[in-house]
Amino acid sequence: MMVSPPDFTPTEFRPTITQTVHAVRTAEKSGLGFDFGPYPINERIFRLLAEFKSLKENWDEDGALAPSPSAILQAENLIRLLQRAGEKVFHAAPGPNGEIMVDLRKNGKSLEILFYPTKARVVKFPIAGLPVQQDFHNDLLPEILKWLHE
Amino acid sequence: MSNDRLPVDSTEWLYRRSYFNPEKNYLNPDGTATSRVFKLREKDNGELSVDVKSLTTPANSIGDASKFILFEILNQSVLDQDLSTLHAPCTTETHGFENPSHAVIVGMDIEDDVKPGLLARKARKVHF
Repeated sequence: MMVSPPDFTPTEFRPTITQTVHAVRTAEKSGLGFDFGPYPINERIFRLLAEFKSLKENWDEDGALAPSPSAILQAENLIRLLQRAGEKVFHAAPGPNGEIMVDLRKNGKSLEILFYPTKARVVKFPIAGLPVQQDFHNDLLPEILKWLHE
Repeated sequence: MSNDRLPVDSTEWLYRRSYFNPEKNYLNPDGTATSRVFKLREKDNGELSVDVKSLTTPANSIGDASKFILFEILNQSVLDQDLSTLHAPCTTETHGFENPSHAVIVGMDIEDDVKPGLLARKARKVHF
């Protein structure tokens, strides 16, 4: 059984990422799935992620590892969260170590969220100054998206 | 590992090759490099391969243009990240092929996801 979120109409009310994360957490705790519904703003990214599933070992002819299934799954879940909050993703790309990178950009700033086979990281690239790298988990989303939009 | 490798001058441009087919794998939608172009992998042993532009041609550096794409970056942009670039020519005896323009960027860690992103943002696609 799937739990449908409240019927948010984008022009009337767009849920914040905090509300979305909370709703997903609640659905997870109840043991039920979460129906994100169709939100087209990140359709291209979903298509890319689907294509990355077909990449094999050495897909770049330089020894790149095939994207890890768990990395792709985590990236898909992140994109669902983001699009539920109306957040458009700039790009997603596979890396040479089995990772998936999800890149969000706004006003000259960039957030790279990297899902590796056994860990996840986020790097904040500010307009000026040094980028910051830290471990990533979904609970960080409200904070890092706030930084992106400041 | 050779100890007699010479630093590449800061004014040199460097070529970094990446896979192009399908191009979305290492290209951003705006045609710039993704950070993954400059990400180290285990087999690199901490040395990211590049070619020194003044010692080669785009055609030589790219090899098969139907499969690969070339980005270029000013070496000063590499040095600005507290990295070094060392000239490390490939020879038939050691590597099985000749590449007198080969160099390596050293000082990056495989756990580092900051520097690959910074290098990618300083790189540009080579059109030829």
